Amino acid sequence: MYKRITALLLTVILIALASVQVEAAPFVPYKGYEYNSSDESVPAPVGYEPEMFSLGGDIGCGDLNAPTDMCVYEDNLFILDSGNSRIVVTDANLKYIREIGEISVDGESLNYKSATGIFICENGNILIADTEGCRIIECTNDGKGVRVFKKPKNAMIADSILFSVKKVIRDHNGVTYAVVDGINDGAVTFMEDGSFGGFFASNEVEKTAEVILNYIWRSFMSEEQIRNSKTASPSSITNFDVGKKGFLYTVTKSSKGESSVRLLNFKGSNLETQTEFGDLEWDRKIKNSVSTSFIDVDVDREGYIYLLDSARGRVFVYSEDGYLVTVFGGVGEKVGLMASAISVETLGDRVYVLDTVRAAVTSYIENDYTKTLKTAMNLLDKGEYAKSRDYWDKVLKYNSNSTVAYYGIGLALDEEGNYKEALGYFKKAYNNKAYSEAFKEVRKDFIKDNFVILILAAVVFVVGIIVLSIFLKRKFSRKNAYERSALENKYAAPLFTLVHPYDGFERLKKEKLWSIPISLGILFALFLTLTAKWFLTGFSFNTNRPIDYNVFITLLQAFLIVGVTAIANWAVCTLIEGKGRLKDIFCMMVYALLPLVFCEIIGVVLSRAFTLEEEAFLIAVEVFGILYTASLIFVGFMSIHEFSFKKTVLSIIMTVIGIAVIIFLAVLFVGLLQQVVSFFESIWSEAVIMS
Amino acid sequence: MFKRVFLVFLSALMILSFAVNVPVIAENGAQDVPEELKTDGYSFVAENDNFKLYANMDTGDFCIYDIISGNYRFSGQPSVLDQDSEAFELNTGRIKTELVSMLAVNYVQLSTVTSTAVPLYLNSYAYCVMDGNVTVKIIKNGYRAEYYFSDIATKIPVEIVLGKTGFSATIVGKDIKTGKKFRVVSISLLPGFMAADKSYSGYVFVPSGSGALIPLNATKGDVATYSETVYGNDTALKVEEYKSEANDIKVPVYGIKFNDTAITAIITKGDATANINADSDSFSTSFTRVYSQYVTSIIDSTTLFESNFENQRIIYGAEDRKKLTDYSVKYVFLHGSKADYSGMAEVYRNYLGLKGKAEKPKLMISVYGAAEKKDSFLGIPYEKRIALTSFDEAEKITDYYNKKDIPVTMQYIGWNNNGIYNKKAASKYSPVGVLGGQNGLSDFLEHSKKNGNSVYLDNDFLLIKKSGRGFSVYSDVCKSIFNTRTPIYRFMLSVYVPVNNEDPSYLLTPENVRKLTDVFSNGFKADAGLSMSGFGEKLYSDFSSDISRSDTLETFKKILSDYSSKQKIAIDGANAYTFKYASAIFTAPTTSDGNILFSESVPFIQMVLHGSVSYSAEYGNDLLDCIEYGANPYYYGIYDDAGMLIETSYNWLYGSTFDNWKKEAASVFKEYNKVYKNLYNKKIVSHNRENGVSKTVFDDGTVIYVNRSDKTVNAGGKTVKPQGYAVSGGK
Repeated sequence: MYKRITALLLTVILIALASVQVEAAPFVPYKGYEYNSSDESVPAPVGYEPEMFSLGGDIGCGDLNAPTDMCVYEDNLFILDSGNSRIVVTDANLKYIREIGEISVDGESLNYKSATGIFICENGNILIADTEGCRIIECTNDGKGVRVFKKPKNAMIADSILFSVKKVIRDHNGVTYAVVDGINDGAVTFMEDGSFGGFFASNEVEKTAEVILNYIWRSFMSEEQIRNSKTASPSSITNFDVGKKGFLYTVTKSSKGESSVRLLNFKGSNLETQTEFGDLEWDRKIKNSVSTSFIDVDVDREGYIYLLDSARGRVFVYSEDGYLVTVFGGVGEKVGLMASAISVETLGDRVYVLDTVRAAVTSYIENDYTKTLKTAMNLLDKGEYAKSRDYWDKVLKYNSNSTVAYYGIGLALDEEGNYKEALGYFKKAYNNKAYSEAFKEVRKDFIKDNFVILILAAVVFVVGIIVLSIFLKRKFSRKNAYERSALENKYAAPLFTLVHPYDGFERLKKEKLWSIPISLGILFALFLTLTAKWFLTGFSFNTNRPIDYNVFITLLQAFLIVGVTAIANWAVCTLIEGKGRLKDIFCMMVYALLPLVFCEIIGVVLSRAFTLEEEAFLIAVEVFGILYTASLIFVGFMSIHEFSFKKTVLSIIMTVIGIAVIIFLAVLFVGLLQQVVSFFESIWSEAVIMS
Repeated sequence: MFKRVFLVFLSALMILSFAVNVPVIAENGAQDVPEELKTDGYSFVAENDNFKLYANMDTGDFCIYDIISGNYRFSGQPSVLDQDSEAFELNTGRIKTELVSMLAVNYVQLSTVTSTAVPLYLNSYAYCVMDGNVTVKIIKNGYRAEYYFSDIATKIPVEIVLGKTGFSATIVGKDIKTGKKFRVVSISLLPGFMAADKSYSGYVFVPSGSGALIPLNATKGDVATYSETVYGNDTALKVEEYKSEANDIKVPVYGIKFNDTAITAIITKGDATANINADSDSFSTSFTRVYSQYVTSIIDSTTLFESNFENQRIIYGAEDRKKLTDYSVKYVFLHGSKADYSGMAEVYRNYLGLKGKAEKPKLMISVYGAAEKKDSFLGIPYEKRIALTSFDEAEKITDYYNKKDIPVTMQYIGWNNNGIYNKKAASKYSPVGVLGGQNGLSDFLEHSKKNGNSVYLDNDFLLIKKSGRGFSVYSDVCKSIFNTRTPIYRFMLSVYVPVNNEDPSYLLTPENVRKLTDVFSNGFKADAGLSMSGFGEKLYSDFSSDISRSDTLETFKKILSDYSSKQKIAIDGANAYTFKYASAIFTAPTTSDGNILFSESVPFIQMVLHGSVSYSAEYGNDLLDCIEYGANPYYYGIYDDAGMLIETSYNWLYGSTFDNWKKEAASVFKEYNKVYKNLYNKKIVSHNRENGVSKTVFDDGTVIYVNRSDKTVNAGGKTVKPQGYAVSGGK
């Protein structure tokens, strides 16, 4: 009875303490967005709404002074108020509970005025990264000093390094990790007994193109030049957190300011993922470009990852599997926007972000959209697709742009065996692989249902082909050496050269039977085929989006490539006494394209019947087409230039060089033209503006 | 040297003179000046039943005696000059002298304006009064003070005139004489008048969004100031980078409440070229204050590229407005129970004198008609027009609600021209074919009318993308200070820069908007209201033709008045100059823009509008919001599945499918209608909040309590459940 009363009293008190939302829905000063499969930002509902903006006065602890870090333990938030050398403990509503001031260890009272990191271990002990004090202070949860970690005496750490500890954490095994200024070999670790445990997770030098290029350059440089050039230094860890299964999540920053996120196991090897974290688009104007710069990471109890971007004051939320959940926050003077964000923590359905310049904590609260999305993602993670269906449907009601929701529903339908419907969802999710797998099942069913008809159709098809080829052979093949085939006229010539390239091209050239309209027709057919390939290829193989289709580029592909090659070849071959004229070369090449066109069309048709596993067949068809065309062109060159085999090879090599020269000149010309145009443009705009 | 000695002497004199505290003097008959004011140099200027006005003939400062409250209020805060006072220590830098100035001026030097655009600053105390460059003249019911800023050879006259409810202050535009080498960018009027320190309890009211309060007794460190343009930023200025979502200033009103008096200020002239600024007790000042600023020249910038993107130069320019108009602010004193933001709203409502009557509660819905989507036929790509909500489907929507006895006010966007976005100017009446064409539309409208719905067909008269139909996208659009067109792009959500691969829109010049509206009005055949897209939220200049925002505002008013005499008009956003003409306002803001200084948002706009104009809540507001704010529930969307808009430039319509919200809308409206079917035409006389419970009072005595706390409360004899509401009183 007594117990129940206390419980009742407690709940009453809790209710009284719970924050009161006084007003209507708050103003949200940022828009929600997410990334689609092509890494473009698309609108999405806001996932977290700003709730409180609390200065020290609002918390009830007096002004904070340059706070640098936060940590959550149980249901409390610990704010490292380094300027005042204290730790402020608040509840989830950012109301003051207690504080920890100076800590005495072995009779010595320690302050930590410049500390930049705080961490609370599983047993409740607090670790403080006292940067200028060059030490880690450990105390109990109520502030009794335990011990101090100082710079380990070890040959691996240079004497010149001060041991300015920036951040500190401890994992489930009691190993302490410290990020130290100036140490690029990774985090310094201490074992449970306080002894030095070596370095953890050194970041390798990134093998970017620039680094490789530098490496090549160096082999040509003198000693002095090498000394003067910048060395690529490895990127160093900015911050870290311990995840659900004891994995460490680190955010690192490269020398160029690029951020990356890594998931590390206890050995320090990288486990992560194909996800690219942070913003994927960039500013086209180079000068203003600001890239994502992660400054803190937090992993919540469910395994969701919260990354704080100090450049734009935003928090990116990812699922354990690397799906983007939502992005929120920004820079500005409104509640929910930051001046200088430095730390992120989560507690329940709230996210807290610390602003060091404003000395304030902003809290954001998860809304129903994010709750639903997270529930759905959790079920997806567990493989409970059918169960997740309802949640995905709800997510779609909030956000019909959500690719992951379409994917989730697709999987649920897949599990039900409703493959046909699943196809549409995988298509909307732009997931070719899942589509292909579902399609395989659909095809299986189709074949099962229509087995007899399909067999019949196949028989009819094969018989038809045989009959047709006999018929064609009889009708069109030459009866003897002097008689001509019915195909050897101006209009059917492209078909004739398919099987008799050498004779065909020679005769066409001699008798001037080339037809420009037919050539253009074939080129146009190629253009149509390329377009059809873009739009009509089965979705399993189609990574092109209709929205990206560009008619000019496709036309260019069809016409310009043939044109340029013909001109280059003509120019080259006149030098080495080739007999072909430009028209001969051009028409020959176009006629030779016919197999490619046929094979592309067959490819498009087959792609709608095949799955990704059978991709090899499709590639074979395409390669066959290319080889056929290539050999026709080769024979064609021999024939119309009256070259020997060797000379043809030579001429082709020279043609390739010729093409390169033409492209080079064209690029040069366009570049120059652009310069001239922009020169006049800037003169003009300056004249207009200054007038 | 001499000058400095003189300055020191003068300031010592000033300090001495202000050392004497605010006078507490018995009334001495009309012409007598209280002794202590007299020693400070004030003489009698004017009086009426409520006020006496005294002015200092040397400084141009005034003191107003409020007979009702018995308080003296000075034009500035003299305590900041009193060495013995706390305020002397707490107010530092230029704020100190600004607090005792009548004017503060920002200006640029014309010779350097192209490279540096950070305006330089002067105020009337430090640069005119100290130099003795003030002339004061008595005029009818007041006085005129001319401030000569010798540093920039600029003269600015201010007239203070006493009125029944307070006084008005006017910067006389035509008499401003600016030095040849300088351009005045903005003039702050009475920057120290509406200010109070912690010794008072109360708040500053700023009209951010629906309205917001800044408490007088909260220290916010050095966190923020508030400074926004009335009616939002000039839309003709190129936005290089989208910063954050904004809730603009919709009404040119601000105020301050201290203890049991309040002062509210209405910008009566020049509201289109005004900024409202507020700042709070911080490291450099002990005062929380609010004031407005006359923007006389807008500064714009453009980027010059030199052959490639890496070499760029930013050029600045200052608008050259040939004729400056008057800038006038009316200050009204409020007392007792009227001395709060409800009282301020009442003053503004009376000032506007809205004559309209609000319609019975209706569910307010915006639907989107036609869109364009990339498609191809045999490899030839084209823009395919698709129906998001056809006329038949719109009818299905209204029928759905009408069957539940819910009348609908519908704003139909994208029924005409190219659909949602204009290409050529929307001059013709041509309902989109895929939606059902002209017949489809008239059937729908007829059906709607029969069922008691109001339909407003939305037409965008402001934006075009292509030339045609007599409007050129080159010569008929607004130009910047640099004589270049201002393209309006969408912004990338991630990195805030324009989406450059889409055709931008351009703003037609006000004169062309007028022409376009005339042409359109002649051809308009539908029996429906017209929704004037953009008129309530976009206000802009045409810099190249010296058309200021004030000019545009006048043109817009003329257009609105012409239209409203012929048919019913609906407005998006809620800029104050449209109130008089609108029958329906879609989405009047229900929050402030969340500046860190604000302690809460208040329904100021709603208090002004309720009973006169029908207005809606914002999308996402719940039932409690609608009931507290007296706002018709609002939803927007399309009839078709929004999933089909993935990979189109309409993907911002995500999740807006009718099916998603139709039931919620119906249930919210039913609840709302229960309360408001008798209140829709009543005025809101007061509103306040305490401990999470709001109280809205109507002029028939009805009181609505909305409880957002977690506890059941007892309010006005009614029990209000958590997240619930209760109505008491009334008929």
